[in-house]
Amino acid sequence: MDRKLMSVRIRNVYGRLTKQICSDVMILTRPLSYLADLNPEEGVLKDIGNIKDKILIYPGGVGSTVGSYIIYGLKINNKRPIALLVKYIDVVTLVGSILADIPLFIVEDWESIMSLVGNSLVWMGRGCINNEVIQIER
Amino acid sequence: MYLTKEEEKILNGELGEVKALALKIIVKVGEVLKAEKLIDITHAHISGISYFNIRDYGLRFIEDLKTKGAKFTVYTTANPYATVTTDFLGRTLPNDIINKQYRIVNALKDMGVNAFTCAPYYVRRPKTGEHLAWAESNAVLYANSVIGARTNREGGPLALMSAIVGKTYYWGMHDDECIEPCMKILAYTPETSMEASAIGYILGEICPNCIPLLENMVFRNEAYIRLFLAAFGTTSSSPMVILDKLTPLNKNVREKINKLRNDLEKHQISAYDVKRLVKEYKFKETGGKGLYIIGCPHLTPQETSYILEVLLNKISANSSIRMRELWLISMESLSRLGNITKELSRFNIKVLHSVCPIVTRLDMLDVDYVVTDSFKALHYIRKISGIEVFIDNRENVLRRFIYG
Repeated sequence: MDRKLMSVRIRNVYGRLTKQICSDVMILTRPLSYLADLNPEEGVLKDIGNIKDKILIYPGGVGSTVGSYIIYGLKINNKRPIALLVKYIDVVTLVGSILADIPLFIVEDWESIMSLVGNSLVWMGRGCINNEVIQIER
Repeated sequence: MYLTKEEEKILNGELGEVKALALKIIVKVGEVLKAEKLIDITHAHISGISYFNIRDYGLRFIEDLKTKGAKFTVYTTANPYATVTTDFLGRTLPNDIINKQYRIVNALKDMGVNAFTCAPYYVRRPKTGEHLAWAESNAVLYANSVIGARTNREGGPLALMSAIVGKTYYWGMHDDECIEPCMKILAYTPETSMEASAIGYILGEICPNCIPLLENMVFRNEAYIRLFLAAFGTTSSSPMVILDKLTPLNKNVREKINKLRNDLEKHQISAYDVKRLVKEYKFKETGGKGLYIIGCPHLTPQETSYILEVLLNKISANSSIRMRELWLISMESLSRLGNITKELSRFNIKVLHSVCPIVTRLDMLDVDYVVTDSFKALHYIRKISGIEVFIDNRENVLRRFIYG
């Protein structure tokens, strides 16, 4: 099977990973409104799927400032993703990641991520992440 | 980050465990954002207080702070809570939820919350240039864009921490250097406040994370601006819209914007864009029980009185209003309401305050559909309660409520 890897540099914002982790990767092309889109008790994004133990890549947070609590709820309910990788930092996401202790990164080359997804709203695959780079199987 | 001696004392726990915890989180956020220092605030506004949104873990988080002796050290307001103070056509929320919601409200009152509304700028209007720590996107946008006070768009729990220590990190909106538009917008002039709301919703999608400059002042009055900003905050994370000729700006910021103006990327929001969005959610005949909502964001007492006057002029003694209720949500209780309350309840009209239907699971109240003039309400009710929401202008919402 052809397993070409795409490497994208990332910059750590909060909470470092202790080692390289390989897992499912979920990429969203639209920003997340945590209050509207995320159920923290089940760890599920509406109409998309489960985010527990996944590497979640998305542009960033929008909408309600309650979002920080919703992200914190992922920790309490043991539904945390491995890391959040965003295009831009907003305070709601940052406070959520601090309270929930979820590592947060900025993607240095957002266009590469988008080239992987094409016109779709969601892309699922596999990848490995450390504090400097994410490698995604094309 | 530079900390004063007093701030270091707080951080070391010399002023108590809970202040140390609060400041630790604010400093952490400031460090990540590379803020150089902390600043004092005059007013904190907390979001995230509906039990439906924050559940048991949020209740525990807030009650823990109270148990540890937290008291707010600056003027503090909070968002409205779930609609536990009323029924809908005889149906109430489960007691367990009502009790937990009141535990959240009581803990916040004990710590020092002065009022529960999404329009804190009408409870205590900040002065131009005041530094605030406000969560609640519509209030943040109003403070920065209309009043010219300065606040970032804080996460709910972070504003709570700022209320405890009276400080926030000096970054973003607090620093004039950071106020810079990323695009300029020419918008269609809305004919109704609902269309103003649609323009905000569309603009947020065009501009999800930076400050837009609205070049033509298209809003007829304050109500239009508030519905516009609330809808913008639904689809964007930007803390500000620069409303040309209205937003108070320091001279150097104004000069910077004028220099940038010609080179900014230009977008238009046309009548067609607005009408297309409105058409998508226009009223369709539907069965079941309907909730008609006006007051997202909360109405002023004057607006509420005006709407009641219009309503009572239109309703006749033999009007038959069944299977539907109208909720007018005001930023404070109406003192003059006493003598007409009975009449209003006969026609299924309620004037509510301190609560918010968009942070309530309306499906648990057996609401089948909602009609409103606010795109913010439409967006969140569809997502949170999973029920049909229709949009119309304020006059038509009232007309449809009366005549069916």
